[in-house]
Amino acid sequence: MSALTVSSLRAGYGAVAVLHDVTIEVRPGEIVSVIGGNGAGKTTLLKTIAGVLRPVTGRITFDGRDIGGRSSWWVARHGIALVPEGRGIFGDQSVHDNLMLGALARGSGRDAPAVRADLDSALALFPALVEKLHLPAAALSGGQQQMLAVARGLMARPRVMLLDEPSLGLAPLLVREIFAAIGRLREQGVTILLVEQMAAQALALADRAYVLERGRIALEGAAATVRSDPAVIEAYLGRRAGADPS
Amino acid sequence: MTGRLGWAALATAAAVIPFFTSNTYYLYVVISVGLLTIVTAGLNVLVGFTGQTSLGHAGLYAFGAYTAALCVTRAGTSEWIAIAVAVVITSMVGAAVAAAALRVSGPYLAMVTIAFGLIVEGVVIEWGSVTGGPGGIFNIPKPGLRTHYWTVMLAAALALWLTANLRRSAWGRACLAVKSSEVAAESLGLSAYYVRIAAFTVSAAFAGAAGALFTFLNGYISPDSFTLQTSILFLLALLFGGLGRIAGPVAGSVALTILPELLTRLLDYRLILYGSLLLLSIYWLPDGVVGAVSRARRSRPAPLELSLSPLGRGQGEGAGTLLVANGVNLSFGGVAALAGVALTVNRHHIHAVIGPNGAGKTSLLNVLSGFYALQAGTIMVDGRSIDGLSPYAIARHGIARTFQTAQVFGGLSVRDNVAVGVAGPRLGSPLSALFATPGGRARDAFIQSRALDLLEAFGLGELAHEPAESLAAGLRRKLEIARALATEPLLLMLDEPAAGLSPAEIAALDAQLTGLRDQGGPTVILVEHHMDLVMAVSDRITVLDYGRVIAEGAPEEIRQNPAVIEAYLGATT
Repeated sequence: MSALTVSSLRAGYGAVAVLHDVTIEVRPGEIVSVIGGNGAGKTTLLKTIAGVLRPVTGRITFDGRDIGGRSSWWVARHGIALVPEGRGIFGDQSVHDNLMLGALARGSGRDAPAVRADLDSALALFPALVEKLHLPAAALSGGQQQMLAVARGLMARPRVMLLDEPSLGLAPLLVREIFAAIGRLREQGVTILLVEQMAAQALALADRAYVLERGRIALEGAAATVRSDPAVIEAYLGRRAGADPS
Repeated sequence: MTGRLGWAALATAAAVIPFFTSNTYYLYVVISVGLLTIVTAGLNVLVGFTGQTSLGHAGLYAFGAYTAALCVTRAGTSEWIAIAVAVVITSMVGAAVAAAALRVSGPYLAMVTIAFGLIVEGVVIEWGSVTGGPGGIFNIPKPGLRTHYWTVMLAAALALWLTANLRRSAWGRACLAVKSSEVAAESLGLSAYYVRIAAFTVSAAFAGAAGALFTFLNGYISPDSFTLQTSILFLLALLFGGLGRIAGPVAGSVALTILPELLTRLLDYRLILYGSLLLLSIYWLPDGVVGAVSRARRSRPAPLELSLSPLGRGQGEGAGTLLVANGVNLSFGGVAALAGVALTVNRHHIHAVIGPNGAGKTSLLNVLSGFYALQAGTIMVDGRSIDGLSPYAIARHGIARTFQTAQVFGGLSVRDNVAVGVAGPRLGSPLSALFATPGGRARDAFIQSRALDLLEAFGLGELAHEPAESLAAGLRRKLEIARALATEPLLLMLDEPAAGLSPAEIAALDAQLTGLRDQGGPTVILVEHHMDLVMAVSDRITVLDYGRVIAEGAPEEIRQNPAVIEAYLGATT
């Protein structure tokens, strides 16, 4: 039983296909990591699952229901939250209002106390946002905007979270914290599909992993197996792979 | 190839029409298409290339028409001199209007140009002693219809050829760069204001030429031909044909001239027709008719090969310090982003600036590159103060930068993005760009080849002809670095260049940065969170926290500094 399956997916922008034949499976409660070079199609995969892009061919199923080609708001309302690369925050609105907009897509727990509780736990994760809560989001630094994007994703209380490079632009201390937070989300039962360039950290956290190369799955398996694959070490973990990732 | 066949077919059609019909009505219609093509080709430079909307081009068209009419009737000049005078006068009027109006842009500019158009229309009606008032000017000596047909067709062909040349030149790339990202264009030394004025002036010249030719079509002109509705028609023809496409003006002009002629009985419903066409074209043909036709095929020019001068313009005078900043303050509404920051960067160094998120690193780069005005303190680069300079002036001073969210120029290919950096503010004369003079072409070939060499050095050679907006985020960053280096800076400021790069790509970036330093390339200020990269390449490191410098020193000292460990690095294992 899978939370999310993608089978034989072909997708891209206009006439140009970026993904050629991608099949992946995310089981409930898992962290699944997708790694790959720049331009391999990782962001395209997440955008297609989230309904931002339409699949050309292939199926995307969530809880046994075909969601391929559904619009992005529909997908968000049904429990899949995308934290996009490039943040996509609402700069004119306050940090607080950005977070409350995230709660719009909640399926359950829409009552005020539940939203309040989630707001508190999101802010507990990123204390830097507390003192900026009533400033326009555009006044945040780049890294703080990234925190806001992740926190807003959490406000949707999703069943599946699609995280596109959540560590992008964060200071080393915060990178560690955000990976720890992703681990805690799993304990709360959130299923996570994680795209990350910090492959060593992502694979250390994930249950299973896929390696995406030029729009095709080149390797898949348990994260520990993928992590020790010589080709993966060479291409994605760098020479310092054996050392501590920090 | 198919493009050339299309142009040849079009030219042949225009050339044979007079031999197949003696009906002057058809000639009249085709001449109208030609006139509209000339105006919209010019408007394309402003709207399609540069991204600024004008709803006042009927005013410029009127300037051309009345100038030509007055030259012939009052000064007794020949038709040709009248046309030349009209072009010159309208260009000057256009430049003056642009210098005032382009202090605003986008929708505000559209409003200002509407006002200009209404003023011209009003003056033409009221200033009866010169313009003939509402009745206009009559009995203008005019050439025969067939002769005029050839003149207008050649002028229309010339207009399209000129815009095609411009699009391929450094000027064309500069226009598209300003349209896509004004901030990035300024960081390469381009003044967005100046580029927009040039584009407006070119479009005014085209409108003036078309206006003058319009005068000699009927032999009389009146204010009715130069209303706001005419301005809307110009813009609509361009949108319908295809914004930014060379052939767009032809397709739009044919459609918007012939359609109303076919539906003359529906004259009263003309506005409804135009409005519906606009809505339909935006819905079904967002790239216009020409865009829809050519979407499938993409031509790929063969790469050029030429030799390359060494990277960088060297390090200026002698060794020592390149940049000295002292007491730099910056606050937003009472919140201090930078408080008394001091930074000294030595020539040939890679100087990292690190610190927690929100510490003020990007704010510091924005002050150093002129995007934020310095509120207190001094900044000297290469012995000169940069206080109060605008971003493009600072860029011309030899300071290049990248942005945390890469600002590539959409609408330009990967190679052309770098070519904008290579040319920088050295765009040459707009006339040599319009007429594609041999000197201009040679310069351009050099610019393109240098851009390609830089792309090769960054492993982007294979992607040179892809549209820049199709690149994945990490590749956009590399492209941005190549584009910044293309300006041959003294100082290169990189804002998180390794964000979104894989470990292997970071290792390559490491090699590129140290390679640049070892070859005597630019001094580098590096804002970055990947500590293994920072520690490996940096000569000095400055650490910011809450807008203050909390540490400064060599990498080893920084790594051991307790304050840095507490604020930023965390306990290391």
